[in-house]
Amino acid sequence: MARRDKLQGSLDLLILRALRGEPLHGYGITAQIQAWSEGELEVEEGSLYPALHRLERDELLSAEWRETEAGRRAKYYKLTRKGRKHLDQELERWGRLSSAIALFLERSDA
Amino acid sequence: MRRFRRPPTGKEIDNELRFHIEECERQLIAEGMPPSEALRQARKAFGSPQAVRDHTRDVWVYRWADDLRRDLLFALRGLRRSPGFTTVAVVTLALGIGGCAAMYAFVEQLILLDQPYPDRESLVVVEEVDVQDPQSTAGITADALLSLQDQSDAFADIAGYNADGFALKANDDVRILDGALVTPNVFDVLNVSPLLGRTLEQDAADEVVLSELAWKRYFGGRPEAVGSAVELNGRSFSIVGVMPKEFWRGRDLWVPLGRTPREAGRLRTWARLKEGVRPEAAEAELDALTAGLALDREAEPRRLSLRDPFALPGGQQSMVAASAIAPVALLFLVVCVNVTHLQLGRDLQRGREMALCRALGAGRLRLIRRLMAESFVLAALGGAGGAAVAWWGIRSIEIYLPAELTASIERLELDAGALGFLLLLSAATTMAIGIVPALRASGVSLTSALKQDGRGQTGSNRFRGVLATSELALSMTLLAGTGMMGVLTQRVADIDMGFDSQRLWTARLSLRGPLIGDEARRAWAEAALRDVQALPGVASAAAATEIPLRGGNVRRFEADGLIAGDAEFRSVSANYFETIRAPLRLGRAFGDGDRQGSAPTAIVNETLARRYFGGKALGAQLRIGGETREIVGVVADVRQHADARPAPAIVYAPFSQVPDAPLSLVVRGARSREVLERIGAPSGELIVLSVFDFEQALHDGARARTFLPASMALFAALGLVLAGVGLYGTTSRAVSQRTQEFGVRQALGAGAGDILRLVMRESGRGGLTGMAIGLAGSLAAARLLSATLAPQERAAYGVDRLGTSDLVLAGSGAAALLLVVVLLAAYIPARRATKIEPVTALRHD
Repeated sequence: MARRDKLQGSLDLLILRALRGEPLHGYGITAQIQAWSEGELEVEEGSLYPALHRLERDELLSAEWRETEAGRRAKYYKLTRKGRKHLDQELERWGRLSSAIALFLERSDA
Repeated sequence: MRRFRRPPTGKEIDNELRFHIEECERQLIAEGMPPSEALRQARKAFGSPQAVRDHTRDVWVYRWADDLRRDLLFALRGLRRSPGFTTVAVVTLALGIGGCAAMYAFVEQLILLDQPYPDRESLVVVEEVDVQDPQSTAGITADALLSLQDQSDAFADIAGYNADGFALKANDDVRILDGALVTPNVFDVLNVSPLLGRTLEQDAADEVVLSELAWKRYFGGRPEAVGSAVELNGRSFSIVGVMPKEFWRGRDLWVPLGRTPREAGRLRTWARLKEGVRPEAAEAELDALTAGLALDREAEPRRLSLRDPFALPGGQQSMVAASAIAPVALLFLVVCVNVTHLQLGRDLQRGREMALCRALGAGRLRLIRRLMAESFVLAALGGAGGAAVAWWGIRSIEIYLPAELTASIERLELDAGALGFLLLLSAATTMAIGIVPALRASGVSLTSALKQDGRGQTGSNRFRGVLATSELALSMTLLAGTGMMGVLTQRVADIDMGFDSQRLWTARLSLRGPLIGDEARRAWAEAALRDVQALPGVASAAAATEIPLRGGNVRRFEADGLIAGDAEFRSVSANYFETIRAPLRLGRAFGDGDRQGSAPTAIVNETLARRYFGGKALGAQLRIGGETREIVGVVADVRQHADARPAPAIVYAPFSQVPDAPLSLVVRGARSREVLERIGAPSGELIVLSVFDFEQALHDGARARTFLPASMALFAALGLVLAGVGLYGTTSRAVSQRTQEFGVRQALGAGAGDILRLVMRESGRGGLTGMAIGLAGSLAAARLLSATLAPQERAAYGVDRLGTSDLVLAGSGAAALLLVVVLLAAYIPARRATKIEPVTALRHD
């Protein structure tokens, strides 16, 4: 059963991470996230697009309309330099946070 | 992949979302789902497209509003944190903007409002010009008018008029209105349709056309007024129409000329050129006519000439406008410079803030926007305050306006134009005061900003110094200008009118009913004067058809068949000169011998005698008003206007020989009410057109004349304060930045006096530079002003006589004042510098 992750901060992180490689369109991003999380994470479309546009507005992403391989027009998103920097910072923070939580949770009660 | 980011349109978002659904659908189909099912699933997974679309769009909208809100909040917070700065800045801005707006409303009425006559280009004025003094003009004669009317290649039509005052009687109340007697074709010449009713008919006699203003003011704006009767100067007229308020500003009513042009004397004109005719062609025709009428062969040669009635500068307007705009513009500059200066003072603090923001990734543009938001708020507050100041300013202008201008200015209003201007000004102010500090603050590098002593700010210090100097220069210009205006005003106020105005008053009377007719008037005047003289308190009483300060009656005269000119013509009772106390220079005054039936006599004034008779006027024969008179006396000049304009040439005739009407009673002593009661006025036979006190009138005129210098003084004082504050700020900043240096100096043995001198010398230098520039500026301005004025205006304001001694007086007065301020502004921080303990100073880092 797929877990729907709705936390905004995390969604941003997912999107940014998904775009670290090549530019993708909205659908491609959901596919990517699903694929990499091996089905565990499914993004709700209702929150995806507002998030994408917000990231574009805040200049973490840039966007461009292009043709897909199939020849149809879609809006492709890509990380900006500011976005890349932001991603690195967030990844680092996330890493520290999850280690801390893991440490806490595994603490023995002895 | 650089692209201009602009918010996506709704359609774009739709396309994007649709693509997603379609992709999803295709994926499902690829996985084996039947197409219709796939579509349904895809749609379901997506949820409500409308909601998604709205949420997505909102992202972009909020950005705009969000940013703005944040910037404004930031600005407000910042301003609230420095209440001193905010108050000073807002107040100075309010005064500057308000002053400008008030003056704009004023100037707009004076100059910018178009006279909306159709085809203005072909509308001209034909007048007679004195060849030797081209600024001196007069109306044209009947011959000229008729000649042009009958047959002209250049002129389509020409209308003549005489301006005059009319006593309007409405419910036992008499109002004096400015009107004109016109040839009925004037409405066609000016080509303006009436608002109501019609214009005058060709052979009309008792018709009158009102101005919109008069119609509203005295007839309540009621349409029924048209067609009703009204009493003017004792005669009944029928109101036939109302003209719109832009038509012929300054005149309230128009009646037919009545008499034939020949009887009317000189006429002012409006003329329209034929289509396609250029002014030069018309001038040529006028030159021919001049020759034909032999105008250029008279002792004082004149010629017919064209004038563009709408050309600027013209009349007193330009002088007043210039002296109204200049100080306000200067003050506004000072205000802007000052507020920029004040803002720069907060540079240090803000520089650090901004540098930090930059380091954290904020764009420079963003920062500038943020700082401009602060300027915007300041300017908005200043603008709001300015509106209040402007309102108050306009009321003051109305009170102090010189009388000559009130005719052409309706009630001053802060109309849409003025308010729009105010808005524009506020916006411009924002840019002006914000741009420099914003650029500087956002450009500061982090390292230099974090340096505690801010020594990296020498550049900014120099700039501030420049600002302070320019403020001083502007302030100096203002002060010097004010000084000069003050000197001029004083000079005009001191002018000798030629008569003694103490306790002298006059009442203008219109005689009707049984008193109409020469005989009746003569008899009445004799009896009335006798009665009045007998009253206790009356030192002397006389009668005259024209008096100083009001009106005039110019007539052509000839002497010995050769000499000819124009002179004021008035009849006066025998003791007139005694009453007004104008001394007789030669010959005798009028006496009992000068009465009806005896040889016509005349007394002329010095100016006429000198100009036309080379001083030998006594005994000469002079033909004026259709009669030849012998000059029996020469009287001292009496000015007609309370300014520097010289007395006109005047011919006085004895009232008993020329009992014209209306006439003025001139009395020294007693009170007007008692005297008028004594002679039975006002009554059905004796209408009192106006009463005024010479002393009061002269005084009021003087007071009105102080309007300009007074407002200039106000602005100058303000400018001075601001310049002082600016200088104080600069010096203060400089001192605080050099505390270490002063500490070292003192440790090395410098005394308090040395430090003081050091600081003051440096700021003094800037001050003197500013003053020098300002002085040069004001001299240039004075020359410019003097050059743009017509000689008559110059005389009116006594500018011609602004000698070097006056300039020196005004200039040094201003300089002294400024010097005091400069020294004071420098002294206070300088003293602070001396109080610095060497130890503390050295530790300060």
